[in-house]
Amino acid sequence: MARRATVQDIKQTGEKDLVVPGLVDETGEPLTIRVRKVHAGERNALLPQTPAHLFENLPEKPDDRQAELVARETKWLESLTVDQLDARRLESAEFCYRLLALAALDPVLSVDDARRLGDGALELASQILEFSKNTPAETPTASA
Amino acid sequence: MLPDLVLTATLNGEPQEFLARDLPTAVFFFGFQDSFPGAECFSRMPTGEQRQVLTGMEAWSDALLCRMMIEPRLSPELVQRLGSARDELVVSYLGAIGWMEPSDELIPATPVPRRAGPRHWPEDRVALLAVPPPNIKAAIREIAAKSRTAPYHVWSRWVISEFVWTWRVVLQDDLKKRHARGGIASDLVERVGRERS
Repeated sequence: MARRATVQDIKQTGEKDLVVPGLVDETGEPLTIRVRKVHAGERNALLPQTPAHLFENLPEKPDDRQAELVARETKWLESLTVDQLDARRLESAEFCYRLLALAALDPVLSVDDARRLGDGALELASQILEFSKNTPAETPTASA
Repeated sequence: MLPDLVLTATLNGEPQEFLARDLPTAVFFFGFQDSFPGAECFSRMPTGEQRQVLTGMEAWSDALLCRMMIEPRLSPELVQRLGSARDELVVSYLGAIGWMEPSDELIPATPVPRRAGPRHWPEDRVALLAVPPPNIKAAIREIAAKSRTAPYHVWSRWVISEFVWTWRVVLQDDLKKRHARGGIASDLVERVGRERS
């Protein structure tokens, strides 16, 4: 049974502390970072853009739709030059740092700060995406 | 005007209800882009311009949530904390006002008696005075002419469900015929009230 959402509900469920991989304080305690959810529009804006025509007139059935989209995207990628593909790869590689910089509340992080977390940024970005899906709350990583 | 609408979205696995209002047309379209994904002119744009439009439409969706929600009142900061629930609420609202087919994947919106109190909020005034982008401007002019009323009346007095319904009844068939004959129809004309046909 659904109940009316409150501002408090949104604040409580919309932020979370995540353990920063490999980062501990002087006593050996793991350090955390406060992040917020990120919605699909924000996430998509960080990804390299794919031409809109690839998404036009796709089949209704989800499986056919996915197969058609993959086929179109593959064909489009094959049409790109090596330089264009490299640029796209670089932009894709930036995604996790940009996502982390967008979601980080405390401390606030720049993209350069996020880069300094190395593979830890990748892990945190993956947790942010999972957290943003609003699936049932699991045992909090640090605190919710 | 529609009654108030209870929209349901999921926050961390729990369904939660949000109370939304049928917005004045001007308030609904405030910040709307002149093109959008699915429109014919959008597919002809260079990728960079498409990205600008997409960013603009995302900002419009965020602002729409702030303007349409009665309870809880949403700020941009709260919208940013909704995650996937943000998209559920926007899609559910657009389905409830007749803009698009209601999504089969979401709990349908439930109408409830309108809450007492003012229907216009102080910040709505900015939208009422804004001049819309060309496609919306053309749409307002055309629908006002067909309905024999002033464009400003449509803009300020009609709610968005009324605008979409009137669009479908008064203009949509004519526009389909005009388009079939090779006439030029605005992209909005082709896309407002998107249907599966």
